[in-house]
Amino acid sequence: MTLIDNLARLEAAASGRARPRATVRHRHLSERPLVLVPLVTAGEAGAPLGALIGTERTSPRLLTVAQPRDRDLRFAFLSQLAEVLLPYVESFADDVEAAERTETDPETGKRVKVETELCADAPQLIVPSRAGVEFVRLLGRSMRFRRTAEQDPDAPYPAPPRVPLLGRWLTHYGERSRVPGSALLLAMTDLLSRHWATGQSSLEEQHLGALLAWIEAPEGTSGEAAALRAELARDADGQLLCPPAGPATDPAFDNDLLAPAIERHDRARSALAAAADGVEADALLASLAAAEREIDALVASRTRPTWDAVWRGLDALCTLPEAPHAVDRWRGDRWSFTGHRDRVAAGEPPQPRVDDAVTAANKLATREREQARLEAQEALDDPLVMAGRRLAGEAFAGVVTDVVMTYSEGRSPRPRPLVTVRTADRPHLDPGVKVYRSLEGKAQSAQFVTYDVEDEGEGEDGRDGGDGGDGGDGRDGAAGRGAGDGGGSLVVLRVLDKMGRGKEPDAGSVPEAGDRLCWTLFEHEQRGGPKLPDPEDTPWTHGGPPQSATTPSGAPAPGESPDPVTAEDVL
Amino acid sequence: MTTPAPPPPSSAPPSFDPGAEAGRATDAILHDTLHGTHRGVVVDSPPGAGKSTLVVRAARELAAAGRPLMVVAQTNAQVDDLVLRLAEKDPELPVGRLHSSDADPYDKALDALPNVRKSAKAADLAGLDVVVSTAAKWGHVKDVEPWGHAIVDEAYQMRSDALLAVAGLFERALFVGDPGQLDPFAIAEADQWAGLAYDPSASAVTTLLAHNPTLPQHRLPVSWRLPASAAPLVSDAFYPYTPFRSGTGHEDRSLRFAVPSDGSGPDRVIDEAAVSGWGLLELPARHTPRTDPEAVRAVAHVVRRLLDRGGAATSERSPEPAPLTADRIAVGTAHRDQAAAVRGALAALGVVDVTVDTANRLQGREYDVTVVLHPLSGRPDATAFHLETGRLCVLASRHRHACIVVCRAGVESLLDDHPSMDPVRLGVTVKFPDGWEANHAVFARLREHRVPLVAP
Amino acid sequence: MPKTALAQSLGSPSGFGQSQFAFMRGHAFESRVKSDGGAELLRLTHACLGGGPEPEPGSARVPDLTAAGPQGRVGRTEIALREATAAGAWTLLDHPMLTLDVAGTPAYLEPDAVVVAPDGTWTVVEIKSFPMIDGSADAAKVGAAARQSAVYVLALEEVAARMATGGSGPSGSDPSGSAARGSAAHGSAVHGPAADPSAADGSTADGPTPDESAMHGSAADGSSAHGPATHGSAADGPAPDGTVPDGPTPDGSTAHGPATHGPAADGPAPDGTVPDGPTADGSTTLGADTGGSAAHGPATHGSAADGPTPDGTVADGPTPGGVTAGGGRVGGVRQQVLLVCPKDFSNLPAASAVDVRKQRAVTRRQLSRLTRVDDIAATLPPGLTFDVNRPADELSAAVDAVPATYAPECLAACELAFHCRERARARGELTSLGRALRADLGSLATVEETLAAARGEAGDPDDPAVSALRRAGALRAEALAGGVR
Repeated sequence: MTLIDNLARLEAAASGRARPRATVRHRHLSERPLVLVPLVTAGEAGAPLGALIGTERTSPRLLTVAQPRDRDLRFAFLSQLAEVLLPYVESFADDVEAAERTETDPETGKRVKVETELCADAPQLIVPSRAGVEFVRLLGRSMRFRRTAEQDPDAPYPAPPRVPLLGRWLTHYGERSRVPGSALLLAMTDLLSRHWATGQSSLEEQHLGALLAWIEAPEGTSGEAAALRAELARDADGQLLCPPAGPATDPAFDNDLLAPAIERHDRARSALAAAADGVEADALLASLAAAEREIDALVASRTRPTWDAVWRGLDALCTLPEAPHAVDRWRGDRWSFTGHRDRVAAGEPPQPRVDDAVTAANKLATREREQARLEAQEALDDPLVMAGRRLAGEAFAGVVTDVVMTYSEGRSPRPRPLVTVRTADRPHLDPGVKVYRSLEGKAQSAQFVTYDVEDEGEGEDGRDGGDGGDGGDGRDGAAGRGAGDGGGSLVVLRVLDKMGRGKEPDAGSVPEAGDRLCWTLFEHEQRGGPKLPDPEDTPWTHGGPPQSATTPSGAPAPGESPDPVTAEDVL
Repeated sequence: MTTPAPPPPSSAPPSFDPGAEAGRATDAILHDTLHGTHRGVVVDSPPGAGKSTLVVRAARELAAAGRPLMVVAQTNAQVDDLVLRLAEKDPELPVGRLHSSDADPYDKALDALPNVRKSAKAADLAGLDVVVSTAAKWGHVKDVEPWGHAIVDEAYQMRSDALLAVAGLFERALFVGDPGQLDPFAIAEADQWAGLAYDPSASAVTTLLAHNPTLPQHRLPVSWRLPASAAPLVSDAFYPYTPFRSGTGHEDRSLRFAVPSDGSGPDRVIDEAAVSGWGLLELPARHTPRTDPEAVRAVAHVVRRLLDRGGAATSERSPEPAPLTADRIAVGTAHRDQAAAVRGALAALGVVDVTVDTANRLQGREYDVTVVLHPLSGRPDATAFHLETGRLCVLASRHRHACIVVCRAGVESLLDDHPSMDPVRLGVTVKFPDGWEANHAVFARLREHRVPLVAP
Repeated sequence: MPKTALAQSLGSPSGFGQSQFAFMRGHAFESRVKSDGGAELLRLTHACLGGGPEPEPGSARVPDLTAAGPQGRVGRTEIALREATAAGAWTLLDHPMLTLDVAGTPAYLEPDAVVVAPDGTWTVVEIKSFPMIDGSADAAKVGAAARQSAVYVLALEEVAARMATGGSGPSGSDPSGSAARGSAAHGSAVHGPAADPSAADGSTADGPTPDESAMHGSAADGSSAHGPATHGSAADGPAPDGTVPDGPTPDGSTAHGPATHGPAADGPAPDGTVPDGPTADGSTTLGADTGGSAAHGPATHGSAADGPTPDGTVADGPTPGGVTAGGGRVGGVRQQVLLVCPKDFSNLPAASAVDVRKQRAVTRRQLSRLTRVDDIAATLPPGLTFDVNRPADELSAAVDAVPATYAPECLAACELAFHCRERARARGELTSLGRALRADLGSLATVEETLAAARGEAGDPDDPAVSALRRAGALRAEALAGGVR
């Protein structure tokens, strides 16, 4: 959070309505996202109570588990979940475009371009909150090692056919969501709080209903009051008017409504099992169905408000134009989806429980690179984000006041124009530091040369002004220069590249006097890290090759064996 | 990991000979490195215990034994510094400096060294006795014959994944570092690997020892930098299970000023620090932004007075007192903007040659007197960053004579309001000490050397 | 101190509470873990921590610890510990009772279990219902469990110290030269650890997920979030929190625990202890204590005789006979506790040793900084009452008399947080928007003040916070007006 974001939060608190944190939408949103609003049973690890799911705002599918501790009912739920989710995922698998990928040629060891295909679009999963993302991960983990009767006829308590596959997809989505800037699996609260500041703390912004209340408040109304109602208001029976977005439920709901309903269901079921004859059974079946309908209605009543809130959140986000670089990052998501599609098709085993050393290091390297890339791209896409970087001394904007053409030394001199920029910003310019600007989508680099002194009077002013009172200014030896508020300082830069091959720079490649430009101290693209060894070459410092890499093919690696199960699977 | 036996009681018998102790430790380390059977040797080195000297000596002895080696350091400045030290000790030694292909990739001073070859390609440096580079650059080196030996310097500041990228380049290695300084960190989510032996975001040494618990572990037991007044505090607060001692006694060092005190807060705290080794200049309690103008000015005034009062430092290095000049003083801060503000305030007082930097950048450096803007001074909250043990440890262990801390009153209440609430990840080796606890311990000691700064 | 009821009466109910599903699950799991005479629990202890030959199933001793009143149970527990240690046999102490002196008031603690191994070591066992999946568990919850267990470890160390001196009482000298000495000397104590279990386990189990918990209080681990200082204990109260990690709310209880009625008196359980049960209310019980009060400071605890740093470090440090390595122990008390959780998605137990040396050291320092509860009471206006049947405005005034510093983290930890939030928002306190937000703003403390400074209507332009705010405001306005890219 920069001071600029904090200021937005303060403005929101004072006005009672949300304030923008972005001028564009920094995440790609699919035209056909799948929304999932899950609920979980308190106290159990990954025992679902129900869900609303679907791609149609007006007709979600309701799935419930009438007795969450019943393994068969839970499997039935997961099977239904797979029935909705997998066809959605698979509907994106066949629409592909030609693409190139760089691979290491196994024979020559060289990096070569390979023709391949890339899915034209990818399925996008949206859950209400961060806890929902965590639940997707947990569901994925709980399912992917299950064995179906087809896979293993001797498996105790075999899972329904498509459940392990669903587990692998949810695991993939959960893992991808850890990559900064990715958009395959998104939490609505994260999306909204990325784009708006409210007058609450970021902790409170995890409440979707409250967050949305601040954002949706019409002019002249108090979002704060609406948020408070969303958080706390209860009906005469003590139930929250706006149920939490889950997956956890309100204890009052559990104790006062759900527990009695489940008990009625259990009684109806045991009565049915004990039915003496068909006539009695018919009557009891009806009462069981009624008990199930009651639980359905309870689950629907707790998920529907959240379902609607997620879609209203999408509405709010779609009022912002998509940021240019969001499309680039979505391409990365499409690669991720295509890659997993291929692994599934190739019959690879489920993702292991624990990453090996090389995989973990590669994942971390990817995430760090994407984090840096995201920060750079958001700033380049959005003047409000760039303002935060400027305030932090990591970028500066200003008008070009002078351009002097100079050339590099050597046999074939190259253009190295000196560009003077007047800026009121206070970048952390150490001698020789490189800065970058965006030139037709590419980064042009320049080197900081010096601060120029415009005229004597101002120069001296500057020298006096540069004491501790300027605070956040991180300027080194030049602490005194032009720190006054008015004119700002004159920064001299030497442009280094993107000017063509000749002695004379290409047209338009050198800034001209009067141009208004923004230079960043951070790079626009990220360099790749070192290439790590293959897992089978893991060095002794890291325990040597992992077991799975040395297990002869055929035998399931220990990381992939099913979880132990007991007769009473949950308590 | 085993913990060494408890240290001798603080009233050590007069027979304690720091030189001999340190010599024994070094001999054992070199023996294990040159003649041991293990693939790795780990050396913990507290502040100023002679880590660089050890690295240079180990490199020269390996080279002299006909065993070429690669040296891995973490920053270009560290690499250049090592190359300069090697050349200073042994100008004939053929040394390679592997560097990046960026502009100005190495210190120009290396150009003056005839036996140092520089290149961006490892192949150009093949056959040299010693080749030195950063971990980042080594990570890109491929298709070379592995070295028989390596020295990994600042190994506690190296991340596990960086070691993974370079470990294939050597058969065996000496790992040297200071466990008390700042830990490496990741800028992206790495929690899911916490507790794994090879957690990529952990330190290289943590991973190495988790997989190779029987490697010999040594410790340099004597700090030659820290004075007798500082070693016990730093050892107790930051190295509770691996204590060390000062190589000098209270009588070996002194700091005197020709100009008497003018009675002001800065002068009184200077005198307190000259006598006791520590000084706390305390400003009235107040919540302030990071670049608290009063605290910044107070830091600058202390530095100005240190220079103006004709300080002279006597130490075991020379019989004659050495003048306390600007290059022997440093200012340490937690944040870059604080450093910049202090530089500005110093410039306004006409001081330009005093080093002012953040803890990160002061790691490994040494001065006669340091002036520290306390990381928690004036803060309304105490975050993990500000409580990090390594940060305070670096700031409190750069000096040979005295350390003066400038701080707003109220740090102890602040600590009490932000009790240690760290999450605990199963399987992660606990790192000692706790930042909250260490901050309390240091502050309890500093309070004994408190001088209030009265508003003018 | 019934904080839930108090919050209700104040008109700001908290939403704290526990789902009966979680409650049942927690109890079912604990009894499963302890079934068969503790065979599985002892096997796990041995597998994780050793302690002697492998326990033979069915051979373990499970002494009866029932007795009248908490003091009786404490005495019974000490006898059982002594006998088990002398017997040199695997022994499971199921819900033993320990005591510590907290700011002059005894607090009774009830760990889930203590295991005595044949080698004479004592191990604290914590049974939690959050899962351990592929060897890892929610770090915030494990942290809360570690802080809670550290309190038990300290209490056990006092028992060990007493035993070593022939039971001469808590002030007996500590042969191990460690912890207990410190605490005795400083009169430290624990605080409502008894409360902890409920917070850590109960709420954990059913908390609506950490995120939402912020709102609904079920807080996974309140403690981690919220400083006790927050409420009851004066702004700079000695961090009651940490100590009572999950402790329930120092607040109210602190304030008037002792004053109005003894801390133990209002606990849900007659003996003032909260078993391990996950009841939310339970937490209020002894939590009281903690609330430390403001007066700490150098005077309170001068530097301890035994080392350069007052209490904490030195005592914990490498003094001879003190703590040894990672698996070390003080006296016979292991510095690693055994955390038992459901394995993956099953009801089978998984265990992990958790090193609590850090938490123990921190708790000890916090305890040493607590002043007597009576001192806190003395700072409050006479006649102060928290009778929940009084009118809301009168109650509100009473609660407001207790210093409190609200921060959003409180929402996950304290029943009164919504009341405090309302006050903080009404006053425009910056911290109601998050602690971190204040970091850049120096002495500015309210929303209005800060916005006025940003707009240039107030504030000293030479204050770096003010000048940075103005630049931020200008840059923000420029960007929103469609500034340069």
